[in-house]
Amino acid sequence: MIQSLKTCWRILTGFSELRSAPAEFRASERISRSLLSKREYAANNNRVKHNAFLPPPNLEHSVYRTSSLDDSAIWKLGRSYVAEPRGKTLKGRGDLRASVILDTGLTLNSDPAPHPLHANIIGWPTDKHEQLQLAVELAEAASLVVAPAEPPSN
Amino acid sequence: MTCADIAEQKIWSRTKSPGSSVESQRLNSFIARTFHDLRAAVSWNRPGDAIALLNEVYDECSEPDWNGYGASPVSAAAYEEAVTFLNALPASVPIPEVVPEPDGSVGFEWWNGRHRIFTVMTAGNGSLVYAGIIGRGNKAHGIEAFDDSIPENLLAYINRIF
Repeated sequence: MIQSLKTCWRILTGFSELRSAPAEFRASERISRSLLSKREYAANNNRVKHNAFLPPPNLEHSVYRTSSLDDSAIWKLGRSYVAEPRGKTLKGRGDLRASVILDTGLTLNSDPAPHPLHANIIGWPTDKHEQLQLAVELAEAASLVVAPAEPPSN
Repeated sequence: MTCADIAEQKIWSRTKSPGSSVESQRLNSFIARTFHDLRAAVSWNRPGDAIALLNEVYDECSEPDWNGYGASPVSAAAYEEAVTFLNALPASVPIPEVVPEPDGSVGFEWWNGRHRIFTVMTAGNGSLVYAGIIGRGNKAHGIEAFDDSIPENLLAYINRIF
């Protein structure tokens, strides 16, 4: 019952942000990748590692468009739509400008499921070393933001 | 590169058996273990430190979906090749960070600030996939065969990072 209510709430809050997700991506738009493993960043030198940006086999790398959200809303989005559905804890996120992604030749594609602000980085080459090079470049340009401690659940 | 590294590389290339028989493989394994033990005794166990990091990563990431996005578990073949890779690194090369890759490979990352990063991946298939930023505007990526010795061009890239 509680899970169903949570799902309904996620859908309702998600669609309330639909207006803030135009189809076109602005170069200055902030793109965020949620980090669910401590192996995807180095807190000691404050950077995201390349493995956070290597694409999955379907070559659709899941990200969120977060320019319209304040910091607490970004964490809420990451927890509700990325971490909790996967049974993971949100560790942090890697933020970068859309222009960085587009300048590499990759493309951003709005994919409003499970949330209107969801998007994919697409256009990946199939050669592993070319994917690795792009992942290294995206990781280097990304800013690491470590997640604050989760608020106690009610 | 230290004298010990040069000596080791020369001795290794001369003593390593080129054969593919069980005896040859055993001999190679014995020589590799001997070098490993010698280095552990005289150079504060550098490969051991890196292998400890590798073991941590392997323990944590040997289950599917370790990254929450459907990652493959780090494979035993990738792990074994990663051990070989670390043991083959000259002592003059800094210990890399060990990075699990979402496809089940093991990655090694050398980072020395902005625009200075180099990454090598072992998948357990006898090839090394590499990529990096070697100073502003300089990129390098490709694939090299791995026959238990580190290709010279990869060592050159790593050295340029530092």
